[in-house]
Amino acid sequence: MIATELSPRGMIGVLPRPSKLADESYTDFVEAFRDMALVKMFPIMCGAGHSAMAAAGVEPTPDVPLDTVKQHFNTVPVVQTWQRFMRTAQEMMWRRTRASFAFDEAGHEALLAEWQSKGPGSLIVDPDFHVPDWARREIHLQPGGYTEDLLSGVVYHYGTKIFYQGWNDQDQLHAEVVNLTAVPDDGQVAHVLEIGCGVGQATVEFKRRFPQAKVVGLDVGLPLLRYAHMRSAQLGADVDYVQALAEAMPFADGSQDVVMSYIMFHEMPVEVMKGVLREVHRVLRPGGKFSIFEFPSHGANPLPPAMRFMIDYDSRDNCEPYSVGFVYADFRGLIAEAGFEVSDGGKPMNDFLQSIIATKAA
Amino acid sequence: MEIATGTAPAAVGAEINGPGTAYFDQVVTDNMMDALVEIAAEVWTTKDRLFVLEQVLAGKGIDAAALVEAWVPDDAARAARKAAREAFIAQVFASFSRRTA
Repeated sequence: MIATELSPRGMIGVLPRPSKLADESYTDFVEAFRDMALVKMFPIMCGAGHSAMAAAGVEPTPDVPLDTVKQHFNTVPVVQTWQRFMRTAQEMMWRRTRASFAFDEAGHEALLAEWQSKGPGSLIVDPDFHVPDWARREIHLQPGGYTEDLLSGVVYHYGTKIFYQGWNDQDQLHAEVVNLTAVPDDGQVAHVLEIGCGVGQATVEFKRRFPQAKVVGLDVGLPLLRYAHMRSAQLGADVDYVQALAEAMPFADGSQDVVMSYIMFHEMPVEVMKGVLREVHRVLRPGGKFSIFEFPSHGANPLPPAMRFMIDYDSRDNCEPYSVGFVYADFRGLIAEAGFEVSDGGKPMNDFLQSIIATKAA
Repeated sequence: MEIATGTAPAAVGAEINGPGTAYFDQVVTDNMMDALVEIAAEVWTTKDRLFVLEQVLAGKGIDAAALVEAWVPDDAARAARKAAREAFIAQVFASFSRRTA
């Protein structure tokens, strides 16, 4: 249990409670409402859109241009309603979550500042670090994104709790992907690096799995890292956090045994992704393993119109500006291009992720 | 390497606090949908609070239902309830002043 002043209502395990019961009830509603739209309405929306195309004499096949798909889908009331509900739920989630944890912003800043100099573990910040514009977007509509808002850490933590619909309240999914992370064949693990570590939910779990290793979490977002460090220190995890770009990491060649990324690559432009893959290859030692847990990518595989409509919606109206580039990229091909041998990794119980192991030749 | 990929937000919350997104030909339909979801969220929030309240009071041996029915507000309570009611209406119907085109 963490003892903090993140919320006057305390914590449940490792999760801060919203500052008011009304906020918790409201966001619980949003979680269930979003599930209704995503799980129950989505297949109905897909069927209605395809029916509208067929009724207009357009066979709903993968080769229909996206603009044509959108033209037909956007005339169907249930498709319009689905988009409205998804967008509204996302706005409600972030608006109420941020408001709930913004009950004392000066106090929040003081709390982060107090923990910044405490251990175990450390927070390493380069005062000259420049956040590139591509990383400053309000991804998923989160206010301030990962880089612009003092409250980004706690807001991301609670907002994604809603996204996970109860599977990850106590970081269960993060613990699972850490346990599935591959290690070098010789079993030697002295340095573990998580790139795009966010609020450190997996990073802390790495320290539990590899207590003798040096564990580092790297991210572009300083507000996330300040929160991650505070949280790790309160949990007693000796983990270091570094603000840096994953495509230009402050680590020596061959210095890492294990690297992991969790749902990070779809949030960066493809050109940056290529740089990150090259950089991970550089910092891994021969025989080192890079485990990647990521949303699905489809490459050139044909997708039905409804799926392409949904991918377009998510990119356009859920502020996922880079997800289209990722989804249609040859992700495994890009990993191989960076010099890795590519193989399948273990799949988490929640089956929405792809799991890849990229091995640097011994 | 600087990648040109759109612009960073002008202010925190620009995505969710801007003019908003409309999906229907008539924007009033979007507004009604927003209001519907906000009302549902508030109904649930209230039901949830009542559930919690009754559990807490029952644990203290208090029959809240009977006491609530017998309660008479004073002037301060009337004013507080009026302010809360106005804030509730502003929240539920916010879309009608947000998207007006």
